[in-house]
Amino acid sequence: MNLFQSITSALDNALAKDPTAVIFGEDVAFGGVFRCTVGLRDKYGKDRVFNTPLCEQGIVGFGIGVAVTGATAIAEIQFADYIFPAFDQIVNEAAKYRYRSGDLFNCGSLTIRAPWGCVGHGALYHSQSPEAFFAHCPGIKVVIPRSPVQAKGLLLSCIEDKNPCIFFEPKILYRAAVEQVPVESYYIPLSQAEVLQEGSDVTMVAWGTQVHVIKDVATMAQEKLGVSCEIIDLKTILPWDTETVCKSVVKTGRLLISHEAPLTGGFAAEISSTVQEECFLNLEAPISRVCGYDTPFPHIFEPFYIPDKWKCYDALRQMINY
Amino acid sequence: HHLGGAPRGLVGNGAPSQHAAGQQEEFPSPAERPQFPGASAAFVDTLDFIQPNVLAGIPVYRVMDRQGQILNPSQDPQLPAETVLKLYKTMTLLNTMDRILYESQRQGRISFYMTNYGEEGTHVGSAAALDPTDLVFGQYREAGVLMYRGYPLDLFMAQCYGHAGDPGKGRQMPVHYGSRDLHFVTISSPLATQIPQGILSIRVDGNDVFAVYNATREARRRAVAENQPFLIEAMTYSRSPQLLFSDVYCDAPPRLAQQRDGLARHLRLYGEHYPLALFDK
Repeated sequence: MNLFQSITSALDNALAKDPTAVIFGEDVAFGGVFRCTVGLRDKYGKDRVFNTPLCEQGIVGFGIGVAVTGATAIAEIQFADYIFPAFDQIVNEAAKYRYRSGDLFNCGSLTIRAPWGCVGHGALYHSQSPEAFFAHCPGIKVVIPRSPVQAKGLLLSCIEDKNPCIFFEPKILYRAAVEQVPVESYYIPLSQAEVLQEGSDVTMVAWGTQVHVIKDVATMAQEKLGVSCEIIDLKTILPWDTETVCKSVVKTGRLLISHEAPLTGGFAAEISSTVQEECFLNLEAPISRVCGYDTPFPHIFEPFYIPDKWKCYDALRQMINY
Repeated sequence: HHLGGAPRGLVGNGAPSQHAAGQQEEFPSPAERPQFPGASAAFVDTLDFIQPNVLAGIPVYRVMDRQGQILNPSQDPQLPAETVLKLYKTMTLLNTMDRILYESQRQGRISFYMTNYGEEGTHVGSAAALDPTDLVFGQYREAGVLMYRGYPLDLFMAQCYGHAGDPGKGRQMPVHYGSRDLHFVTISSPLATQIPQGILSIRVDGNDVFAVYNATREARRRAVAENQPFLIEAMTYSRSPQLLFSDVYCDAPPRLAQQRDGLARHLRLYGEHYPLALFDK
């Protein structure tokens, strides 16, 4: 299955298992602009898979209400770039529901899905990676898969999770990434980073599409520099797995973090700050962040904007020579 | 990559004939391709939309690879160390002056500024190959020529600020320098008004200071000996990718300027991996 098919499969499993589960958002009824919900309305009926008006605040607000009643709400925001009208609902309502009610009420059965990240031609409003805005909000979880197998397992975990979750799907991988994905349900745990490749000289951390970039960089580093890289897919941004990352940096002494989102205030800053607190004496070089520039996401300049393998390789090379 | 087949033109009776200039250049290997934009040299009679990254028919002369290593020892101009040092110092000084004056313009201290980014090698290499008394007609990015010939920083500033020290008497916008003593005709704004047509030409990597030096020296020698003009097309990377950093804020914060410079440095080393051919001057 490709990535969008693995999402469909996860949603199919969720609606089959949980009779309260509903899917809603803009254009989901016909199958969605990225085909993630194809066939589900036919299979489960118009009461369980339905369109909403063009109103992100309403989509999330409605989803919170559904979840508070105890039903499972799976909301789709058509592009992560459009999630901001729902920001208040997410931050001030969803995230604080359990806390402010002393656990009398919660909207834990809410999951919000949104296409995320650069796609080659998306420009300002079809390319954003807004995870850093939500990382700053206790009470929600933020999850980003790197592949079809990961996406299905992580999405099912988000739907099961008793906290409101935001699930960002790398849109550039929807068709491009293809794997053997089990048809039945399976769960990949949240808040557990994964070491994809062990190494001894440098730790590289990324999530989503960028994991594939740093994998290429690791190969280049081995071939051109004889440098052995440890690669970590963070997967869950909030709450993030500090233990796996710190354990790795204690071993290697060097850390490179990379994300498409702009450098300043990007999630690499949080990782970098925590690691220097926990692993200060283990560090052989300053922690390197290879990120998008502090500009809106440009259109024609995308190839220059993104933190591609050449920028990551160059940063790694400088770190090794520090 | 090249347009397929031998180009043909139709002659009166409909029979195809070879076009005299119909050959396309082959490139040694994809890694060696120049990345500069340019036009096809031949006619074709098939309707064929060309991909933006189809490369030029005219090869680009260079002496050094991207790491600054001389490719063909016979092309090394073997300049004395103090000349090479002067080339390097001038390029660096020009770049530094550019940063300061560019920021001055953004801060409103001067009204206008054009940087010389990417052309440092072209200015300095050509200046070194000319005699100091050769008369130079610049466009407005040839400040490096003036700088190489010894124009003092004070006078660059004076012209940009239009103050009493400016020999141009404050009449023109910034970067419109000139110097009779250094044989550099004062720059004027209208473009392409003084270029002759239909002359022998060479295309050169403008970032390769030794290539520019060699080409300029040879062109000068022949121009004087044969009494005809020569055109050196010095190709350089457009700074248009830098436009991605404009207009984020009204005034660019320092960190953004650092990132912009970081990209420029990165492109100097790794430029072959980027679609720079799309960014024409």
